[in-house]
Amino acid sequence: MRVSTLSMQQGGVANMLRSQSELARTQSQIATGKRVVTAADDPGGAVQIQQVERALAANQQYAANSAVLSSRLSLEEQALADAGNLIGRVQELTLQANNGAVDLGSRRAIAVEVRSRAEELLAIANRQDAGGDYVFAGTRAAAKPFGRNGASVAYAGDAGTRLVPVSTSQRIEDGHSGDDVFMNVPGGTGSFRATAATTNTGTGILDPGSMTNLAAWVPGNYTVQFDTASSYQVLDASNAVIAAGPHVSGGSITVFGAQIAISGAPATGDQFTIAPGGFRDVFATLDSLVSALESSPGTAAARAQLASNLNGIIQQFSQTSDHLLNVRADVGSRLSRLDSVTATREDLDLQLNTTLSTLRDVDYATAITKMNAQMVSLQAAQQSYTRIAGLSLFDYL
Amino acid sequence: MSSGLSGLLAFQRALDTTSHNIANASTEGYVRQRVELGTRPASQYSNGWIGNGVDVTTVRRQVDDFLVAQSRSSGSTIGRLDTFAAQAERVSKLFVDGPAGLSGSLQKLQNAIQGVATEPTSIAARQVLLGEADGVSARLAYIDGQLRDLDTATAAQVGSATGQINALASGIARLNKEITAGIGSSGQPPNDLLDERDRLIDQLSGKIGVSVVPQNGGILNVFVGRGQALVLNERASVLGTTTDPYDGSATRISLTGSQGALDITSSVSGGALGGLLDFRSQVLEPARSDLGRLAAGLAEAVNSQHREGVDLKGALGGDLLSIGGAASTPRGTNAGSALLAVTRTAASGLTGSDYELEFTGAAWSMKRLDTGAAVTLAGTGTVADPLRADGISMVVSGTPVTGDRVLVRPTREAIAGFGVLVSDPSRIAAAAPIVASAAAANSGNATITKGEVLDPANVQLRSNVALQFLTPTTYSVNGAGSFAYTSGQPIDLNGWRASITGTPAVGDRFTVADGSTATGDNRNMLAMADAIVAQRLDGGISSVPTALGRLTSDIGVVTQQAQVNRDAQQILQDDAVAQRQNFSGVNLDEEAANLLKYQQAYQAAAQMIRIANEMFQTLLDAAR
Repeated sequence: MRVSTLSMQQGGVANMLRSQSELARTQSQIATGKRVVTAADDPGGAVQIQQVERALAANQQYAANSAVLSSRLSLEEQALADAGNLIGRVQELTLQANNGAVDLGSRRAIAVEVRSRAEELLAIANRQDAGGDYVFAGTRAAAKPFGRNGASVAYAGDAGTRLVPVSTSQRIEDGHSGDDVFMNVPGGTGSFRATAATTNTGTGILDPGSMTNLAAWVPGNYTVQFDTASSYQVLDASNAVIAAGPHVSGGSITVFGAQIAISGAPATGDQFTIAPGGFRDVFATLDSLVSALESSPGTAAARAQLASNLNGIIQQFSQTSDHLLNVRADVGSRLSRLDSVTATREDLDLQLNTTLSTLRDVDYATAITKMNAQMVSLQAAQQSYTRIAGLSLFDYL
Repeated sequence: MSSGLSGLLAFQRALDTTSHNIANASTEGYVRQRVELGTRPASQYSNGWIGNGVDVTTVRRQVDDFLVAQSRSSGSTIGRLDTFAAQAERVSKLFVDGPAGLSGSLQKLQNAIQGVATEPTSIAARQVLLGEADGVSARLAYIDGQLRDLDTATAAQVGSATGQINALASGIARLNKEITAGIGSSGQPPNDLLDERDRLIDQLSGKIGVSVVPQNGGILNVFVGRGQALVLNERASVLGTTTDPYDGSATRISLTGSQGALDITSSVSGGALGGLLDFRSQVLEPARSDLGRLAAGLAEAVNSQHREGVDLKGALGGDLLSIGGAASTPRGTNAGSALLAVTRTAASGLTGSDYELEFTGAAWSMKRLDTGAAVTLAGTGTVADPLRADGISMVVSGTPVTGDRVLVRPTREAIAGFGVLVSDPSRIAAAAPIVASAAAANSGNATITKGEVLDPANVQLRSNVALQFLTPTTYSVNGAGSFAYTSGQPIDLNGWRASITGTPAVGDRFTVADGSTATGDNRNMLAMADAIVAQRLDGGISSVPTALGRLTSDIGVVTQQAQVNRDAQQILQDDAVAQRQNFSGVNLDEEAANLLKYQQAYQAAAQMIRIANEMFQTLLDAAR
């Protein structure tokens, strides 16, 4: 085939230029470490890179959310632990006071401490986080949730809670409303609550008892009434007699699984009621303890009344402790769920980074081998060109 | 004697031509020339025909028309692909640039929404959300701005390409004239003028696809598009840019010849001009419209959710993002006065295409401009019953005349109006307007969901409502009526929806109350985080991020194809040029050999004259 001098020269130069541009591309891949710089380098890969980068960025946000959630839950747990300890101390004080040997002066001294503990509990319930939000205000975060409203404490928050996204599929609640924690404490045993009537004239002391058979329990109001000093009748809400028996001091009386005991000597006509537990707020319980401790029972009947009352309050405190523990357990389970979500997220991060690197980054071994091959071919093109271009018949004329 | 002289003259011409070849060995487009020799007519004598020497019959260019046509056609293909790929690469770069890119900005916005969901009372988190919304808006504006700049630059390049084409065309027309004149006087081809004309046609084919048709008298006629004459004989038509009949901005190509101006935009193919036009219609305009569609989807997702929430001040949220409207332009030549007011109604129906509506006398017909497919229109065009199709609705005003056309661009200008409307961070509606709750004293086990907003415009939305169970299967609303209760069945009232599940006891109460003081509520932000990634585009099969992914990959694929085609075509082009060059180009070794050959022949012819001279002398000496 005939070859023109110009095309030989142009062809040689074009080959060298092409080799150089390939070499420059490989070199830029090695220098930047990236295989895909524009969408055209690998359209499918570019979209995957976008997705992985988005997932990684989302994970960063989930990590930040988890940190906030973890600090909120820890704060709540600390508050619940403090409240639990406080209730434990008050329970101890109540047991101490519920002893016939303790005189009025000592009871009043105990009342002073209980009063200050009640204020302390109010402060715990009104705790704020670092951002100034009330921990137990539900979603009404800016309003102080608990305040004295006359004699009682009222809740100004709401029942709402927040869900915090911690992964693409999981959202964890970041707290409990103050209503649930401090106001809606189950009353009595949880299913029923026994009280002595204030009009009792005997010295019968009520032990508020326990639920022995929840399945048998029919919620309703029942009255244990002493028709004589030595026998009782159990009346239902419509005053129909549903049970009766002789009174034995300290002997148990069971109504549909609800078991109470009355010790001492009740008088004829004395009444003890069994009602559904309902809810008691913890501040009201503390207030009732203070007023019980500050009362000065003059008669044996009033002393028995006080003892029944304190028995009920002790039961309510143990219920409160259980309730706070339950809430704490809930917080604990959320924290442990958060831990496992965090561990999963960290694994996912690692995996996503590996994927991203596979998609986007240069494989140095391949790239450097390619560059060496390209350099050899460029060098060969240059050398052969100079040799061939130097040949001319004119040299021999 | 005269034979020898003829040899001397002929070889002198041959040596001249060889030296002309050597001198032009490096001239681009130079075609080597050969002296063609022919024997002179012999003289007849009684004893036979005696030769009279040699004549130069012509000096011929060594050219193969097939190779020339091949290199031109591949030259115009490479011109198109090279321009197309270079422009497409610029668009492609706008779509992948890591966390700073649009995809990264969208994710940051999503993250900021979750940040507010996590800390709804934090002004700092809300400020971040506004900042990231600004970031998305800035990123969209940047990409749209770059695409607009590319559009402007493309228009300028089209203008300069037509200028170059006109200069080349008039050069070719002038050379046609000179070549005819050159042939006319001597009958011999003016080789160097032919080279010059070929060079101009080569350049022209890089700018625009041409077909070249030879005519008697050495004339070459050049046609573009579908056989429109750019150069005919000695006259060149003028290629120009004209404004679009719709918006007056887009550039159209017209050819003004003896027949008047002719719009040839759709028939231009190949060359840099074809590449520019293809780039504009296949990459640039679809990218802008599709990006507008994404922005419309995003704004719809964010705004519709934001309207359902309440802000820190207890007010219902309005729109968080603004977005440009849909554009419609009646064709400048319409006889009637009809205008269309276009609004986008649902992002899920939007296609990213532009449309042309034509009044057919009784009704309007609609056509997609990217596929050319007809679109079925619903409605009559009145305010009460607007024309509806593909996520847009159109209200006709004025009076159309049969044949009137209107261009509708539902999303092209959307990004121009994209922005963040809220500047006060406390105005971000993170909370839900209602809070549903169960009374603590309820003795049944029924629970109520937190409630969601169906219609934020309902004036009763935030009125307090108490649902009280009269029996385990009926309830009253605010103490009135008796409604049947089914566990889990949604209860829709006052523009909200909540559902009660379980077995309520008689007297159990559930309340739905105004949530405007619940500043720590994050339900609306959680819903917004979901709304952004909800599948609301393409008829509900893709989300904003996946649609962005598809746009990125579409542009990547087009660019990659253009690059691959360009690289493949470059090899074909190099080959075609090399073949043509190898046939027509000068080989110096060959010329050196010719030099020797002609030199020797010249010397021999000179010897002939010397011998003739000696013979004559011998004769003279003999006679003396």
